[in-house]
Amino acid sequence: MDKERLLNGYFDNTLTASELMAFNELLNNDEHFAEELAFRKNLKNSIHINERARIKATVKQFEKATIKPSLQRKYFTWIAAAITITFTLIAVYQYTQNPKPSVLFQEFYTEYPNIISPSERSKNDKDSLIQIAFAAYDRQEFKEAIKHLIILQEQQKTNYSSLYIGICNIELKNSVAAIETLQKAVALNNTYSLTAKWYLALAYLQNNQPDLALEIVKDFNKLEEPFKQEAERLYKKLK
Amino acid sequence: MMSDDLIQAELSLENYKVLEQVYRDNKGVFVAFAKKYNLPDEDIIDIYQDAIVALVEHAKKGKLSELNCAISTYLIGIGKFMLLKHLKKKKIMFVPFDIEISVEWDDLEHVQKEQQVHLLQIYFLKLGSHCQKILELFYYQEKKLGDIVNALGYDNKDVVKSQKSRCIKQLRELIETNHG
Repeated sequence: MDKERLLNGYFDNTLTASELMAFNELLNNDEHFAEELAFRKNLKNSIHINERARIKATVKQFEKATIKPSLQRKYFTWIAAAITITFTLIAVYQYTQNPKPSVLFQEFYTEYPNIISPSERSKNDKDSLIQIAFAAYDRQEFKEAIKHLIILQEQQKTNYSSLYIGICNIELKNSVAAIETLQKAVALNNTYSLTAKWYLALAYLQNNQPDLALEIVKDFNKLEEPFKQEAERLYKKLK
Repeated sequence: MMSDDLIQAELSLENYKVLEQVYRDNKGVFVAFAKKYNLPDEDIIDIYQDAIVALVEHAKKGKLSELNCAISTYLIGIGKFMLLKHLKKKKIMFVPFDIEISVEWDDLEHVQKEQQVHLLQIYFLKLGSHCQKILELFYYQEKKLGDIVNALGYDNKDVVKSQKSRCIKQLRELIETNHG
């Protein structure tokens, strides 16, 4: 009996009665067959875990505050619209006066170094997902790095994943995705949030939104070195 | 308004907009229901998001076509099922509600710490995209070999079968080379 056919039939539920008997016979008497079945069951589970983590990461992005409209909110909408128009006019004016955001982005952007993996390496955990994620990051294989970082974020709740996913997206020129992830990284309010703030400003530049970048760098004093001085310099160019 | 058949088809393709619409349309109902059990908001949202993940998975496996209820009813049913599991885990044993639908779902918590599963998770992502696709279709979407022939444009089932075996062999070798 073709063992591969039996294994496939087990997983796609197409074993006939006689094949099922042969399958059980092999399972009980053939150690190699039993091991192969266990391997494939684990493969099936691992693909499920990866896919679920990936889909969950997408679903999490839907969670944004939704406020019910009220009469008060209608007036607020008009006021907000007026303010937005004013700021837009200011932004347009600034845009025409200041260097192009893309030029500023080129001037100020530097890739954030991998500061995570070396400390993990010291734990002698050479096979960890963390190390693989950051090895990809170091090789500048950013799509692959994102895949691993998403899983890390889901499974190990790592507090740095959003920052690095954001930076990977900047590198891949997915500035909208970068902005979304870095906003989350800032909101986490952890060790990496100030770094994320600086990269969020750069993502805004990359996305041609210098007014939003300015909103961040005007508070350059709140940032940490090495970004504080850079943020001050960028602020002077944007204001 | 989209029909359930169309929603099902779009969910199986992970259409972001449709998925978000389904998420938003049903969130209020589930959250209102779950709030009766004094759970933190984050837990309720987390459970609801897991239910959405399960819905997408079931769409990809073609299970939604077998439903005899609306997709929204099914989604809330999955959510209730997951809520019940969560409450039991928290030792809240008295749960005065029934789950109207039968839900097949294994959260795989029991296997997540296994070393081989962990390695497979990592090295699966190191396979070429074609191998990843075949294995994903067979083991995740639970497609039959014949369906994979059509989905990936192979000549026949035997070619898929051999290609799948090669991919599994490659995966084994990757793990053995790095962890042998």
